[in-house]
Amino acid sequence: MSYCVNCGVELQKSEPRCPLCGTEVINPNELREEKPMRPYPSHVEHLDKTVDRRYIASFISLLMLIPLFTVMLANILVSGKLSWSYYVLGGELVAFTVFLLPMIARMPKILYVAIDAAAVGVLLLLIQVIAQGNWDWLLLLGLPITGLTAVMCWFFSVMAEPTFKLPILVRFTFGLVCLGLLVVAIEFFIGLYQHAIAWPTWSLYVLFPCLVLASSLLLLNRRARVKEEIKKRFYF
Amino acid sequence: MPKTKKPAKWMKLDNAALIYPGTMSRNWNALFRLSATLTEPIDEDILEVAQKRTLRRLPWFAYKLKRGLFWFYLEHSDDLPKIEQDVGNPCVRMRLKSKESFCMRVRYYQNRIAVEFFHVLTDGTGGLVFLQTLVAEYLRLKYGANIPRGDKVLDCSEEPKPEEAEDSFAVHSGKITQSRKETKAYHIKGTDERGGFVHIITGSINASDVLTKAREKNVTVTEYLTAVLILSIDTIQRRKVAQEHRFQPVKISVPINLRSIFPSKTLRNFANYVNLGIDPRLGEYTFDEVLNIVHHTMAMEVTKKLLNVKITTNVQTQRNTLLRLTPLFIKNMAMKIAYSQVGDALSTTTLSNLGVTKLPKEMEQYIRRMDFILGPPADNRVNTAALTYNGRLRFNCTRIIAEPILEREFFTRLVKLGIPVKVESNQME
Repeated sequence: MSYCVNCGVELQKSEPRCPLCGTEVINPNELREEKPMRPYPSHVEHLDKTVDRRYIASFISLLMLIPLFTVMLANILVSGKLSWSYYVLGGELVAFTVFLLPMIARMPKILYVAIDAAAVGVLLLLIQVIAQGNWDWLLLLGLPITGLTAVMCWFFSVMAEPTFKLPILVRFTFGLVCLGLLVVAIEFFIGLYQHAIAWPTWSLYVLFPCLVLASSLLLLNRRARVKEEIKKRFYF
Repeated sequence: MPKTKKPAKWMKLDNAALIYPGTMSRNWNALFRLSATLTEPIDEDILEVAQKRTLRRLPWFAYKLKRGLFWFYLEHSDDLPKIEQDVGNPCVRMRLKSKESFCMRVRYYQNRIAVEFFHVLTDGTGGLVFLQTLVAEYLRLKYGANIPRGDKVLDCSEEPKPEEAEDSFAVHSGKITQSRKETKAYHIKGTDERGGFVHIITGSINASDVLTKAREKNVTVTEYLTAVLILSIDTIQRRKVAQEHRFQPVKISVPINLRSIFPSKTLRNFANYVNLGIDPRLGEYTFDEVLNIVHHTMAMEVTKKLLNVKITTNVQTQRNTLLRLTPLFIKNMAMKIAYSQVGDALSTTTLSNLGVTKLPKEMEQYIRRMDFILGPPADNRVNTAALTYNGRLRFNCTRIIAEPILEREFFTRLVKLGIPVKVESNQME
């Protein structure tokens, strides 16, 4: 029976020193005794080293500045001014807003869509300004398709909002229909750009499979087991 | 033999459980641990069979935590949790994201069977029923012990009872709510342990010593220990904080088992808490003054009416349409913020006393000791929990800082009050 001379508490035989003050336990009467059983095993469970996505994304964002500055410097040294390096700037801007921004900042989906669309718009504008070509492709093809894609994404994100109470399969149905219609619209804009608007042809190859898949999803939605799965994951 | 009825495939979280998944982080989730030390070494194979039988009787513990779009939910699994070897630092956070991960784990070390629970499943009382049933089943299988079954040690040949999985908060909520606003409390500071090491110091006290002292003062054992803890923290704050006007209230969060107040047979969460404490800015307190405050605050707060208001406040929040329709990831952020404001921040530490555990004589002869440990807290640095069995009150302190400031102050104070304490820990050699 040993007591801590500092704290006055009795110490279990397993304690090599007082856990309250760290004073070593030396009991001359109990020196020869065998090592007592420890109350806990010596094996310690360590926490996994987890990756902080936000930190990694911020780090990659910083790394992206290296090629950007290198290209800009090369551009100035070669041409005496900033010109073609704007392509890299625009490309990196799009890559950042699409892939890294969602990892860094949490915001409503609609804002992500708007920011991504704006970034693509800026890239297209830079290409137009630097290439100094015909504005038609930007106004009739680039911006309308970007805008329409953004609107579709926004529409889909709105339909996916909890207020609509749509089951997950119906949401996917909407997504597929949106995709099919987007492809038809792209063919329309291409026709507009070529001044040859015609009845859609190749885009129908995309639209029809999308519609068929969408209807199968709607059918699946009627299955009780699948509905139960949806109910479980989406209850509120 | 009739075929066992399959448990519900999934369950909503009970009202108290909702906050725990929202506030958990990569390194922390709210855990607690109950253990029973037997007279002989544990046989892993028998323990596995005992666990299987216990989970058939109590399927509410074989659920895994899953993410829905709006809330977390519990999904039943027909798999069995693996029996694990115990570790030197209990209550390290569970890996809930992995597919094998249940919300509880059974561990053993030499003579001891320990079960660690994520609070999302149950509270201390429910956990104790699980442990006792598991140990009874183990003893029956190993020694053929004929243990009488009842409410605390369940009969594994019986069917699960749906009332055991009831969300009693929803059943007992009323109409009147109250604000959760409270002043923030003093927090003990120290050097954070890296790598998730959790220090455990156990003070073993003769239960009759504390009971005699508590009776002398006409208070309960929980009130007595709470008062000692408050004064210990008060002393620490007076030592650490130089200016008196910077003192913060010292408050202890004491969980209250609602089953003793409201009729309920649930084995899921059904507890609330009372924050008991003093404001050191008003001057120094004597032990009798603190005891008086603790005793009367308990009498005032632990009433059916006031607890009903507290339950209602939480249930009404859960029923708020706007909150229900908010996607889970936003809810989680909001919950983290809310918890930092009205969770741990309002108390300096927790003292959860499960009281005296009495087992049938046929079972008692095989069980030497029982322990109750709270896992490390989210914001606070120290947690305390107590359980009395076989005439010994075991007071377990969980700490995630290097310095045992509170434990030293608390246990030496008990010694000064004439209550001998025997101390052990999980310190490494």
